[in-house]
Parts: sequence; structure tokens; C-alpha cells
Amino acid sequence: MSPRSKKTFHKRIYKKWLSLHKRKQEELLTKHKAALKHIADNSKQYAIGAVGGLMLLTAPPNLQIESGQIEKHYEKFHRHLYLVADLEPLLPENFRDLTSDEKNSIAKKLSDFYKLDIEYEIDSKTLNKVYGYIGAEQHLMRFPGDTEATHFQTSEEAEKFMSSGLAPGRGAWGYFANSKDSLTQKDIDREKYYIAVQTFLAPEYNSRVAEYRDFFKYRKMLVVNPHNGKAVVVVIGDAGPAQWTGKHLGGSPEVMRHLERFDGSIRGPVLYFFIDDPEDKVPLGPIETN
Amino acid sequence: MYNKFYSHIFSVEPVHEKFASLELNESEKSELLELLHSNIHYAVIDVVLSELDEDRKKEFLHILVVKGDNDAAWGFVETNITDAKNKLLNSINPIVEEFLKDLEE
Repeated sequence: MSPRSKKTFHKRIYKKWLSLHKRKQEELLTKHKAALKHIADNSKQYAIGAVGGLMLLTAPPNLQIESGQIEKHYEKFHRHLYLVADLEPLLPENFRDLTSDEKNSIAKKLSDFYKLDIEYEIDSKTLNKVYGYIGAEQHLMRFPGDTEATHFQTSEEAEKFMSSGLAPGRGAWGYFANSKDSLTQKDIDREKYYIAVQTFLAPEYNSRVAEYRDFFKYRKMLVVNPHNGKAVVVVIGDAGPAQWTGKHLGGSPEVMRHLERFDGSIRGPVLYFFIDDPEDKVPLGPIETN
Repeated sequence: MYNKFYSHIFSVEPVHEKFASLELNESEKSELLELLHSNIHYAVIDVVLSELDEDRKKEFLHILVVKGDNDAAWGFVETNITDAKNKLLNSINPIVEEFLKDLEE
């Protein structure tokens, strides 16, 4: 076996079984949520003593769990389980729009969990939904002349994300930077972690277009997959998807990958709420807990 | 590392034997083995919890998680689930077989 084919062989098997691992983990957490939540609640006091058992349920692949790391992994798993379990009773059994009370409860839960100011409404402005089906978006051109060849900073990024393609047009707000030379890390992050939302369906949008456009442009949001607790801080980087698609928002390739959400028949819903961050302190990207 | 309450009912020796014939380094083997065990573990936990009512589920998880007592956990499973060993093997064996099949390809 050549070194290349050996690497491909390992990668192929690893990828398949990691995917199975994640799917089974999610199924287990969903199917036996009440009992797992109960034990998480009641074992917290045991900390290390409970680690062995709970780690058996999470067993992160390719991580050698040394004794010093165990508590860290346990804590992460614990909180993760809490979020999934705590959101479950706040969400309707069958998908529908959330009521104001439900939005408030979820915003409070997320605020408490992430220690951030999470809102579904700021300055009386809100989106058409805060809970919707997410679809996959393409990468956006960050500056005039940005191509797939210039878009990725590392070969690893290119390998992971190039297949998602580059949208032929610009995003709703135009280019992120005027030129390659003026592109900043902030611009790069904004494109990497963006969502497209149906700004055009926001209440009162059509009568206050300029005001709403300015409000939504790069507005910081938290997107959460309520079924696995994965969350990412993003900006509104584009408008869409069209109503006829049946999708309510779109995520950049990086966002979709982190949330472990997919397009097509297996698409699923996410929560997306504003982060009130006037001083721009909350970094974009995957978030665990604060 | 992989000592679980059900470890005594099956063996992954065929996987180790297969590994010996493959040109994978130790780290790669370890990663794959860990994934195999985690998949088996989820399957086992699912079988056990699916066989128990809500109160028994909590009782079992308490033994497993809080007490961390593998022997007691296995005793609980045998006491509360009819034909437990076969039920668990019926979920474990296909996973090991599929894993071996993937290593063959």
C-alpha cells in the first residue's frame, strides 16, 4: 500500500465511523433524553466520580483521555447535555413558528447558558422567524476577483470547504472588502461564519427598507442546533433563501459543518437569535460556553 | 481503557489480528479502535435503556455513572433484561463485522 493510499484508506474508514458515532450519539441523547438528563442533574455533585460513566457515553474519538483532561471533557459533555435537554421542553414537538413567550424563554435560556445578551428582538426589530430550517449556502466573494483559488487560507480549509463552491454573485451587502489588500481578519471571519436570513420577510421591512438594511447588515447572531447543542456565532451576511425553497435561512459551509446540519431531505431546524453586542466583543465562530 | 460492564461477553481480537496485517501506524489504529468501541458502546447503552422503564433506566445509569461499578451494572442488566447477553451480542456483532469488512476493503 502506498503512503497516499494508506492515508486515504485510514481517512475513509475514520470518516465513516466518526459519522456513525455522531449519529448514534445524537440518537441516544434524543431517545433516552429524560433518563440521561436526570442522571446529569443528579450526578453533578460527584464530578470526577461520575466521569467514568458519562465519558462512556461520549467517548470523543481520537482523543486520548488523560486523567487531567477528564474533568474538562466531562464538564463539556455535561453542559452540552444540559443545553439539549433544557431546550427540548421549550420547543414544539412538531415544527411551527414560536410564540413570543417561547421566544422569550429560549432567549433567556441561551443568555444564561452562554452568558451573552441573546435577544429575538432589538429596537423593536425582529426577523420573520427565530426557529427555522437551515439550508446550505455557498462561499461568498469577499473582494472583487476573489476566486476559489484565492479564497482559502490553508490547504486543509480548501480540502474541507472548496467543494461547496463560490456563489457567482455578491452577497446582499456587496463585497466584504474593496480589494484583496484591504481584506481584514474581520472580513474573513464574517464571510466564513455568515448566515443568509429572510430579511425581506421581516415585519415592516418593506416600509423601512434603508433602516432595516442597516440594522441587519452584519448583525451578530447565535445559531444553535437544538438536537446536538452545537452553536456558532455568525453575522447576517446575505439575504435569502427564497420562500419557495421551504428553507428559512442558509448557512455558510463552515457554519453548516459545525452545526452538523445538512441540506436536502435530511435538513433540520436551528434556532437563530440576535446577540446584542454593541461593543463587538463576541468573536465569530463556534462557541461552547462562557 | 475499554473496560466496560459488558466487555467480558465479546472480543475484538479479530480486529487486532486484522490491524496486524495493515500498514497503519499505532495512532491510526488507536483512533479506529476507539471509534469502534464508542459505536459499540452507544449500541449497548441503547439496547439496555430500551429494555428498561424510566425508573429502571435511571437506576441503571446511577449504577453506571455515579457508582461507576461495572460488576453491579452487569448484574443489574442480567437481572432486569431477559436474555440480556444475546440481546447485546445481537447489537455488538454486526458492528464488529461491519468494521472488519471495512478493513478488508
